[in-house]
Amino acid sequence: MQIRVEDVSPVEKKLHVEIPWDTVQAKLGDAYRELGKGVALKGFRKGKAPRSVLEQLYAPRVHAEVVENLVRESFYRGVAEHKLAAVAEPRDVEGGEIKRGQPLAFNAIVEVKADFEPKDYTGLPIERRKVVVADETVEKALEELRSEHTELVPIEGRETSAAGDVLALNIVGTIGEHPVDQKRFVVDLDDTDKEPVPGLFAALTGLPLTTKDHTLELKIGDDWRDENLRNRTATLSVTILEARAKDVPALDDDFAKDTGKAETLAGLRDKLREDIAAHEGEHVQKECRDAALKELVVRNQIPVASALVDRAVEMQWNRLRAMLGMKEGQGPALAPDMREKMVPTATDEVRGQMLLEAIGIAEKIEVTDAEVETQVAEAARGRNVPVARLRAEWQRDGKIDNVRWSLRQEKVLDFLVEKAAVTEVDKPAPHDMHDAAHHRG
Amino acid sequence: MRTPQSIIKRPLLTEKSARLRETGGAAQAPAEGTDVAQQIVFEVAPDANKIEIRQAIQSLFKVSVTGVRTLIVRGKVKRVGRFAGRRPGMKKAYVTLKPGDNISFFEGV
Repeated sequence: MQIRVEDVSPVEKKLHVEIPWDTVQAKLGDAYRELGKGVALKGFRKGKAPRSVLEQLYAPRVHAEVVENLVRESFYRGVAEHKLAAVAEPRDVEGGEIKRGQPLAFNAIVEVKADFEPKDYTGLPIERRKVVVADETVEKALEELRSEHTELVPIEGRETSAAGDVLALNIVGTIGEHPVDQKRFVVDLDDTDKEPVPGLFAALTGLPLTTKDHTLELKIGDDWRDENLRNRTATLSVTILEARAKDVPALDDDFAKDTGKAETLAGLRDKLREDIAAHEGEHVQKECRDAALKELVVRNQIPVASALVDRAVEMQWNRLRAMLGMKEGQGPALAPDMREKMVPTATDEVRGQMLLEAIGIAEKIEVTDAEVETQVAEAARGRNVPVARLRAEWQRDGKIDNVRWSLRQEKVLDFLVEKAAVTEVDKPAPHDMHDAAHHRG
Repeated sequence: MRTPQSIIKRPLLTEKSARLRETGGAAQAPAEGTDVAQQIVFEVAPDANKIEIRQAIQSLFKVSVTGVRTLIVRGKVKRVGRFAGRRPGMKKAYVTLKPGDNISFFEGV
């Protein structure tokens, strides 16, 4: 087998392959033998049809199969012999027609990773946002923590509902043309954001706790958030099934102890401030990583194989579908214009990954087994499965290598940030600091 | 006069006919490059005689026929419950070609 490689572009090589007739003949023989074993022809016992008959009936199919196998075989051999970093199967196969007694000759395009040296990856100019945790943010987090520790207790010492109570209601009636039949509808009279009909909470405040079939008539204005209910009248018959008052813990040292985070209220404030700052620090680090990667890609516009871009587009599309809650095979296919729009981002994504990989090699940044193990253990804890089981599963599926790869990319990004020309800037956080910290907790 | 198409109905492709094509009836396959007097098997019209068959083959496939042997295959009796019937019979012809002549066909397989 003779394989010659011709450069088409930095990411494309043309393989010129010539396979001697003897090899082709042997492959054809194998293919017909294999076909003859299974084919059932009238007049012949299974496996007894002679090759001449099979040739006349199945030649196009067998030839196509043999050519396909030989193309694949020569591709692997060519990749190994010429040390090509192929990223996809060969495409645009030209020739490849079997002619008796003649060598099989064909050309194919193979996409490869571009050969490049990453440049200017130190001293990347990036801005680091200063982490400042405002007192209001701490207070908001404290309030949130307080509401988390709030208990719902039976109401004692009063006979009517009051603001802040939590009521379980049975509601029957209509809102305009819409029927309502809620067997057990729980409302927090404080939480006006979730008020289903304007004025309902006010109407429920001050009602006897034993209220049964109390009729309410509420007019909904034309500015109500649900446009289906605007300018309607709600006629509802309400029964209070259960009423509870909120026992909000006092902001004192006992509360701090109950949270398990600190011994004193001041200590709790400090701890919350620390948590928010730590979380915000992670955010800032991520912003720095993103900025460094963006700058790195701008400085190194390396050519990228289209097969890798296609794969990245596909992955982006799958991520989008997963975010929308679609399962594999569900939902619409990726439209060509949409694909077109995704290509630039996907190209930069691939470019970034390739650059990080190359910098990792150049700077000898390695991921230790212990680091991989930590990552597996963390994932196992998150999924509530034994570490050994998850490790075995990931090893079987080859995901361990993905973990190692991701960790390495992160380490390289951290290296870039470490070596970057960082400017500290006063900028507001692009998100609610307290919310971010809260969701993390 | 009968047309060749009405005399020769179809070639019969079976293990035996494939073997006869390759060996011409010899016990072993001939050495490569040796011309063999191929034997081809056809289903023919039941009332066709050997002379008609030879002429039909020669005119249809433009080959020389050196021999024709015929036989009649009687249809098997088949029974479905209490009803008995007979499958149609046919006339077969083993046609020997001049060494080096060849017929290519695979319609009807």
